[in-house]
Amino acid sequence: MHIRSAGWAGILVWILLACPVTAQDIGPLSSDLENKSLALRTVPLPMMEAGPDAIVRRHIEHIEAHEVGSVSHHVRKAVTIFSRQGRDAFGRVHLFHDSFRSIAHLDGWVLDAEGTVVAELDDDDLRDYPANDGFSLYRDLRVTIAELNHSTYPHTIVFEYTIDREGHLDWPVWQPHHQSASVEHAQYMVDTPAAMQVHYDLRRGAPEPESRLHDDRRVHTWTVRGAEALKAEPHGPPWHQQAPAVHVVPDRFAISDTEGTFASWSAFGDWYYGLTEGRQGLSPVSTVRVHEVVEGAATRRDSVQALYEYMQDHTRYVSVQLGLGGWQPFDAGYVERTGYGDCKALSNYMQALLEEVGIEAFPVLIYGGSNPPELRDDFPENRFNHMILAVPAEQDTLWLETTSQVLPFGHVPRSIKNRRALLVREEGSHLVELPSSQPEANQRTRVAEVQLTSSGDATASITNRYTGIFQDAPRHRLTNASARARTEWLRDQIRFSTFQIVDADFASVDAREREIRLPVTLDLPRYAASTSSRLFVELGLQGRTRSVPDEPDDRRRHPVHGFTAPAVYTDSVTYVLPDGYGVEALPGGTVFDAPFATYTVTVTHEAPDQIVYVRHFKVREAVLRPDHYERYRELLRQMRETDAMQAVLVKQ
Amino acid sequence: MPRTLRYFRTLFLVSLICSAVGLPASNAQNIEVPDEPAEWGEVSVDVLEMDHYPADSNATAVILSDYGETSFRPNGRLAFERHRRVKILSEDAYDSWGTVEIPYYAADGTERVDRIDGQTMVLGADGSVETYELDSDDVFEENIDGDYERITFTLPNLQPGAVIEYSYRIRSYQPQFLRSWAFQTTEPTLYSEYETSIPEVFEYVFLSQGEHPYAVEENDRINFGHNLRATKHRWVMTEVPALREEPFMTTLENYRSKIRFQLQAVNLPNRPRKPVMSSWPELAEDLLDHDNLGDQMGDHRSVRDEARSIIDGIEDPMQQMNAIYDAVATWMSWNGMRRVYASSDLDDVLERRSGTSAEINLLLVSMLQEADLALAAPVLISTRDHGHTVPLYPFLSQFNDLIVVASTDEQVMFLDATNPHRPAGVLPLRALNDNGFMLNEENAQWIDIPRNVPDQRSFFTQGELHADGTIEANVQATYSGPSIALRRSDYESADDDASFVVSTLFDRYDDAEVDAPRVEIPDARRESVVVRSDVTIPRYANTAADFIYLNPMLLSRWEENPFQVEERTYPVDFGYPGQVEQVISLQLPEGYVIEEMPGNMQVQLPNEGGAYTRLAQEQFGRLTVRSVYTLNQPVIGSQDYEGLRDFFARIVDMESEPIVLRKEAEEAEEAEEATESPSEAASQ
Repeated sequence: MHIRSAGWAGILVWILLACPVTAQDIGPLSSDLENKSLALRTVPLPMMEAGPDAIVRRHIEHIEAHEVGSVSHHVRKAVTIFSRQGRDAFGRVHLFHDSFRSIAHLDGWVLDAEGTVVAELDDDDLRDYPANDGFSLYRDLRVTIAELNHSTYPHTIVFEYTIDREGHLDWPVWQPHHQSASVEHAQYMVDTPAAMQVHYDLRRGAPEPESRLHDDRRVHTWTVRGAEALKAEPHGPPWHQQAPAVHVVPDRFAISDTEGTFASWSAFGDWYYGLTEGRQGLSPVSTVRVHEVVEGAATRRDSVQALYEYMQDHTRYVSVQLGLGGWQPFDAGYVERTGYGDCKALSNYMQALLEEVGIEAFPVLIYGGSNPPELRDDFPENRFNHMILAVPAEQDTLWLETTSQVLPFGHVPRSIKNRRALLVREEGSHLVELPSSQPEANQRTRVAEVQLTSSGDATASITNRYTGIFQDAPRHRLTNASARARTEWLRDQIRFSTFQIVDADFASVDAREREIRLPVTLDLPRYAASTSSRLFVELGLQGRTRSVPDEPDDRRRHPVHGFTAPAVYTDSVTYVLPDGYGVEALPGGTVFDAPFATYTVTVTHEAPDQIVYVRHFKVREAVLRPDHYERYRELLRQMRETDAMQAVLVKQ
Repeated sequence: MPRTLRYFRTLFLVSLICSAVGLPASNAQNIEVPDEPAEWGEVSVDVLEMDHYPADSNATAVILSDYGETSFRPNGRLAFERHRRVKILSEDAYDSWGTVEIPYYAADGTERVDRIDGQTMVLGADGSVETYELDSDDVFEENIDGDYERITFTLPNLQPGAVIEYSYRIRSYQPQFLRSWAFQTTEPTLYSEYETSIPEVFEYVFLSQGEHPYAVEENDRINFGHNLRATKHRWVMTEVPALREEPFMTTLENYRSKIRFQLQAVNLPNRPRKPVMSSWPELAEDLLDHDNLGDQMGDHRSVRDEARSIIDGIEDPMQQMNAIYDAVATWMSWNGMRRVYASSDLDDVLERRSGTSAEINLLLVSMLQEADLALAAPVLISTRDHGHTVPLYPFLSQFNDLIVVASTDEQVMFLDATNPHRPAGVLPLRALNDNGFMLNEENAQWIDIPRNVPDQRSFFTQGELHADGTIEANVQATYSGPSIALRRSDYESADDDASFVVSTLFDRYDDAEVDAPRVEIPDARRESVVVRSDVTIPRYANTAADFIYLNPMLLSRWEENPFQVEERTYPVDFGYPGQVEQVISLQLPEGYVIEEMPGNMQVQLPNEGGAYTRLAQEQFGRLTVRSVYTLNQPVIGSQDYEGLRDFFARIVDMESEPIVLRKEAEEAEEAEEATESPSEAASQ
């Protein structure tokens, strides 16, 4: 996940995302799961036509709710496997467990083509590990991996398991389709006491449930039969945001000794407020310090800035996720004592600092990272993995990302930009919108002069400028980094195959300035390919653009996730020719103009010893309407063609 | 007295460096090399003020002092205690040095960790030392995978300039678990000391490695309780430089200055000496009798039956071997674990179709023993990341993986069946590490792991070049040796032949049109993978006015030098030897002549380690360019690094060099209409 590389925002995990699956009493379906019914001959013929790697024969998920906050999640999954790839995709299950989830039952077996059991899951097939996300110091989440193997194809693998959940918020999102396998029969049953209310939301064509009352139980059942493998459209939302989904939440939930409700966003916010209430106490020493910090501040905004920078200088991001601590922030005293915390603890601490000087601030539950989930006004659910702090001001709101020690004050990084989030307050918690930005706010500019010699060597002076979201990555990679790490970063940015840094100035990284200006001077040995009388110069500083996706079979259905954000990219390079060389061949430029983007490249040769290359790329919309797909492909094609243009110089 | 001397010498050295590179000497001159380990909690203001480490400008932290001690109790139990102090120079060091992980072997309570303390010391605003202690609530213990557990903690209130220290104790009742000690880390170390007090009951072999010299290496006889003597050993290193990763290397472990211990014998009072580490023949015998190793082989009827049914009807021993290898490699799914012992019986492994490297390869040996081979035996190895072996001493922990050697009367082959696509006779990169110990009843012995199977790729292109730069050709690519595994694996996951051909050969060309793709994936994994197809690449060559600029490296090209960095400390290790041959033969467009063509060239690596040759010629309007890259020696010492770097720079240079074609004047007029506005074509 790209967020990882940004390090600080890697905090994603405070809300335990990976919802595992399942349960025990599948009652009404059991006849359908008999081993003999899974024999190869019972596969519907059309599913065999494509020469599949695997077919999901049955996939039953059953939520059996006992009382508020307590459910058993039963799963039975049978997959017929035709190849090694099928086995790699379906031969194992991952069962996550932690202080709220335990594996109550786990079994598995392999059937041959006739539906006869040929192998059974035993202890050797199970492994249990800490489910480390790679950035947390400690989490209580663990994963049990169960694996079944058989070398004769086809065979059918059946897994059956139950996970008991004592304490939960919402329930797993159901997505019956698969990318690489068709589905014969999938079912989601939500089985609750009749008095227990549930809310559900159907996304992207998911079927309506059948609802039945059995004595004192109500069962909602969603069913999908005969579904083909569902391929994601390229350059679009991730697969799980393209496939149908059923979201189900209980009206009331309980976790640890807290209770809450998804009746409305405001009501859900009330529950969260309860978790944070009274955790902002500072020690007397800190209290004094806080007032000292804001002493020189002229305005309210200055005070916020002074405290934000104080927080940055005295804390760092460390994630510890234990029990209810996955949701509830550590109190401010903990951060004071240790100098660290996760996104919740640091936001809460920042809130405490602000409160001490009478500035009101609110925690905001948000999803950090690309492709945030859609939050609907009328369907409150827990889709968050991160927390920031909102400081309302007269004009607009300041959004404080508290997990970064290097971002300038008030900077809203890409990982939390342009999405909805839940602002939590004592009363009236509500969805808020984190703003997107205008193209001009995000600029990556390079101005360079390249001096060529007749042997093909060159010297380049380049000034890189990064504003807005483009500074996120360099800041995290470069601030306080060693010379070696900085050189490695430059190497990744610049296309030259071989270079030596003559000079580089990282001053604007080290100071938390609003933008980064990074002048570098490089020696570029053998920069131009040469023959005895010619030099071949690749124009531009651009790496290769991503490849052009295929034409769609049908009409494009999903939006095109074309670009990272509205932005302006400008490269301007002057090549100074060696003495005695003239231009033999020069590539032309290109112009592309569409509502969503403009792209121009010009190559001019006006002064006799200079070639000037200018590339200008402006993205107005990062996400494009489906019907812009063709134009988008055209743009990529033109960019590919102009990425590697060559000028030919010849000895006069 | 020597202490003072040392101090002055260091001072002198430091100030010299400062003036040489013009760094501010302000906070640097105070780095004194200690001559004894740090005392808990005692830190000088000078050390807290230090803001960089002059001897290494890339240092993000400096290990100021690292002290470890292992001592025995009279009951034979041992305790390892450590106290480490680290100067944090920048935020970059928070994760790697401010956070501490202590893994230990917890199965059966073999090792236990306690007495964990930690603290952070920083300079307060008023110049006093502020100390923040690690709270025991912030120390975490977790099970990693059943046998191993891990203690994790992070030190409080880190900031650049902080000095952290921590200490802990690991106790064990197993004398085999005498902890090793690394004097060298990925950051510079000022002072590192290890001390052991070993009663004469236990005899150990000491294994020291690394370049850095000991500042102190001494031992003393001391009393150890009742009628027993012990030996106290002390090793000290000072000013140990950082070890840093370089590309194309085996593992830093091979170069790290460290000391390891291997229990050799136990001498209980009034009893005969009881060897623990015996001799290679005895170790081999033990392993061949071991329930989870030697005893597994040949012990399972289902395994033998399976083997016989595979070779049924095959006469040739080599073919039998290949058939068994192919079957095992296809069936088995490797769970990614490298082991020396099998933890399941081989008949279960066969049934389950998955296992560790030891299980899969022992299964392979067992089955090969049913074939008419001169030899089929397991070989214990140390993978590259596990470091060199130590053939001098017969101890098992130097190995972490198991492969197979098999031979007919004519040929010896090394096998590893953990990848379904790998041909027999090719070992995975991880296994290419000097030598291994072959377990065999008659002649258990060390054998060299050869690197005699080169990675060979050859590309042939024959076709024509059009005046607009378009190439129409048929191509053939042949992959042999290690690259077979890669291609077979790619092919298995490809949608169809055409997409496989495009992604294998024409990935760089967006608009390559592939026709009549033919892919040969032979049943026998040892045989080469051959890919053929017809292809049209529109406007492959750049054109402008009367010129065509053609780069002849159509299918394979070194675009950049893999060795960018100017200096090299450790040898370069490519793994396999290799060869890439490329021949392109193109009919030139009517009316064009060669204006400039690169000459025939050859460059060599030092000591015949490799070569690159290019030959270009034109005859009757047909251009032929042949290039051959050969790497004979996959390991190249750092003394030859400059030559290696230059070798690749020359290759990159030659392969970027275009051939210039010019339209002959008399035909220029006619051709003008045929090629519409050639300058626009060039701009595409």
